[in-house]
Amino acid sequence: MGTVLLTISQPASKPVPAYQRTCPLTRTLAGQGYTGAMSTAGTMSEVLQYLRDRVAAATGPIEVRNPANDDELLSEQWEKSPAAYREFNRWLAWFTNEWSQVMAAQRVPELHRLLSTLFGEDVAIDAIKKHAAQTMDLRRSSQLKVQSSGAMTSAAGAAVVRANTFYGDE
Amino acid sequence: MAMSSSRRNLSGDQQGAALRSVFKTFRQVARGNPYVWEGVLTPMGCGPYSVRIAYYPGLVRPRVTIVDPVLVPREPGVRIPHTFKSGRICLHLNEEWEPSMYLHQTIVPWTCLWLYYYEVWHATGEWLGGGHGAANDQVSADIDSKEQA
Repeated sequence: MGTVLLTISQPASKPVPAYQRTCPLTRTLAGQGYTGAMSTAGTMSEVLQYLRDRVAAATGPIEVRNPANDDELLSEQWEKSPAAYREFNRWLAWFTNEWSQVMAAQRVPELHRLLSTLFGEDVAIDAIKKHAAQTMDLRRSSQLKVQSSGAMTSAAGAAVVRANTFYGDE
Repeated sequence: MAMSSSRRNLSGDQQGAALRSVFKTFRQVARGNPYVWEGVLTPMGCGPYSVRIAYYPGLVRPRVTIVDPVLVPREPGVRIPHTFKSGRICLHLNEEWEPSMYLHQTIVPWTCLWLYYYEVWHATGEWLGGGHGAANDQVSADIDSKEQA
């Protein structure tokens, strides 16, 4: 299901829901946690693991400084408000759990539901449609193959998916 | 396995051997007319689905049924795209398949593709796999009636 997650992107013209807004603090943490994963899904897993490791290793609120100005403590709010830091930890545990379900999803409708919870309906639908479009491109260029499990791939496979035309009511 | 289509119709035994050499979960459950195999396919993160393929040597096109989980409409009363009234799935036009073609190179990959688009349809409400649509209903109806015969 990771291939669908590669297609996640932010719709340019849509308002950003509250849960998608980022702040300098979370952006900085995400940047620190990113070590070059090749995919969106890999990046998300990598950053979440980094956050969990940072939290687990700290005896109090983790300290995050502005990379461009070391004197600026971006995590100051967590120093001042234990409740805010507890809320961050609660969110991190919830998001990590939801993300692990995304990565384990076995069906597209299940993936749609989970992605909608995390990123909103538009992003989820957009990702699934983009993946379907990419699959269609592979079909048309005879690059889509099927493996012995039935999984389809653009890499090595047991058989190329030949051209076909589904018919019947749409 | 190097399998090229010859113009000679393939026997059920030939189809079965080739099918099971690639898709190893498939087991033969009937032999004769039709030959029937059942196996499990897990297309592109979907599934797994238990699938039944019935092959009528030299007679009619193979018939594919999704055994488990049972296919369900997105909403009550809505027909699942690209299915026959019997519930079997519609994979190709008549001219796109002939009995000299191997099932494992045609019918099985198309079934995987169909299952993927079926799940995408459930998620998005749109069939994104292309194919004949409402404008070709007469074609569909004609094929449907032949299949029911």
